[in-house]
Amino acid sequence: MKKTLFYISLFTLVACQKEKLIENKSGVQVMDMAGQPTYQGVKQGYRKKLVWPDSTRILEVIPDAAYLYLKGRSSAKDLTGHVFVYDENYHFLRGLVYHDGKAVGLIKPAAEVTNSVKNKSQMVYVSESCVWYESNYVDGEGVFTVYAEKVCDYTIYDDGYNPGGGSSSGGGYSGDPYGGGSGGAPSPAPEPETPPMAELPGQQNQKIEPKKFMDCFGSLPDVGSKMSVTFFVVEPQPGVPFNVGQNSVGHTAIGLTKTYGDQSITQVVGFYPDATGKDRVHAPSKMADNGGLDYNVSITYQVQAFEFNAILNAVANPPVTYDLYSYNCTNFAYDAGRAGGIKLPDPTVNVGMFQTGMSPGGLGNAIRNVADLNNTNTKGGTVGQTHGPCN
Amino acid sequence: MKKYLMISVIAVVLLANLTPLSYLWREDYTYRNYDGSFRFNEEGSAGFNFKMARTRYRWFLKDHPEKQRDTLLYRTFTIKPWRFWQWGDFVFGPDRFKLPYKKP
Repeated sequence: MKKTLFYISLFTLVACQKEKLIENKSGVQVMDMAGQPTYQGVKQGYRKKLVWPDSTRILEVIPDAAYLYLKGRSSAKDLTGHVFVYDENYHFLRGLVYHDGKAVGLIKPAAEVTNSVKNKSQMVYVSESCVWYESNYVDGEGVFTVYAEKVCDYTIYDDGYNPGGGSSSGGGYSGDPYGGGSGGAPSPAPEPETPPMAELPGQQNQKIEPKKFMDCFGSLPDVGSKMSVTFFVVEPQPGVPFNVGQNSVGHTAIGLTKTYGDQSITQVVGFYPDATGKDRVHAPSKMADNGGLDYNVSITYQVQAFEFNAILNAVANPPVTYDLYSYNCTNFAYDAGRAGGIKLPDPTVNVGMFQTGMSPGGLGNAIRNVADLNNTNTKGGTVGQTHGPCN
Repeated sequence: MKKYLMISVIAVVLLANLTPLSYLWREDYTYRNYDGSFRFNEEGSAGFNFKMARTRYRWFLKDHPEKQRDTLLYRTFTIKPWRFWQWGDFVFGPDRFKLPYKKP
């Protein structure tokens, strides 16, 4: 792998040292350009100039780090990453987000965006919620560029109504699964029908609606309530700051507790990719109930009502995209804490590929380093049953 | 020559089990109860592990006493011993493979 990376770096270096002119079949001249964009604080990607007879465009191509890590090279056929388009005067025009060679998202200058929610209806009710979120990078000319990236989330509601369906068996439904009926011996209990498997991604997994979980706290008054926030960490390899171990990549969950008199509500949730397999590297996000989580270390903070509500709001509105390296469960928990003025022990570690980032292994180790404080637990435990959603 | 081949094989197995590749390649182990009213997915084991599956199933049975006529938890994944990148699971979490199998 190191050897492959070395050759990629060498190739990029040579390509950047001199401009090379290629004319393709459609008459477009394609030139490699020196200089590299800086994305997420790291110089990466490459630039190309496309010259038509009447116009010129400059492309800045930034392949995803995880894509490069998995593929070992960048290719237009299966590119996963960002492409920024500039005019000949280096004015930022627009861009596209690619996944596996297909355009899956739009990029515009930040000033041109509006957020929208649409409903599309067919056999099922589909809610399309598109959010433009603002980000920035430094282009190949060294100019700080603010852009907005569009990410859409689709929620599919199926009320199960099936006008053509219904029971195919004769007779009425007795309401007794064990048979019954008049006369004769009761027949043996049939094995209940297995519910049909989910056909939609996310339908069978632990995806929750975080707003419904956070709404429960509204049933207890702020005045007179005690509030606390706990960060639970499943270390990849307990006691060791590794990023992978017997608990896979580990996990960080955030727990909120509000207690008023003898009434108490606790919700523990986590931030996940809504995908399987290698798609987990970069995917739409989802929140999941972390009741029953078997954690290794935790740290708890007592907070004021306004801090608690700020954290609650952050948890109820998670970012729409998950990225294993740049925005994972630990980043989410860390940012949610920051929203309420909590600064967790620094979870930043080397995550490979010469990059640093937050990880459960890093947070677990950082909490162990402040284990002499009263608010830490380094013996671990199991998260109890959470309150669940409220309508 | 044999020595180098052996070292290479061991290195590949260790890399596949002890690097982020194991998370990306890992099967989502899934479970259900006898009638499918309880289901659990390990989600690549980022916190959702077999221990959580058992804890959640215990809670489920407590909340639904009518489902206690068969309290066994079933695995709905098949065992694939040739998947060398999952051998770590055979070592660190063998209990999940001892569950009886039921079709998903």
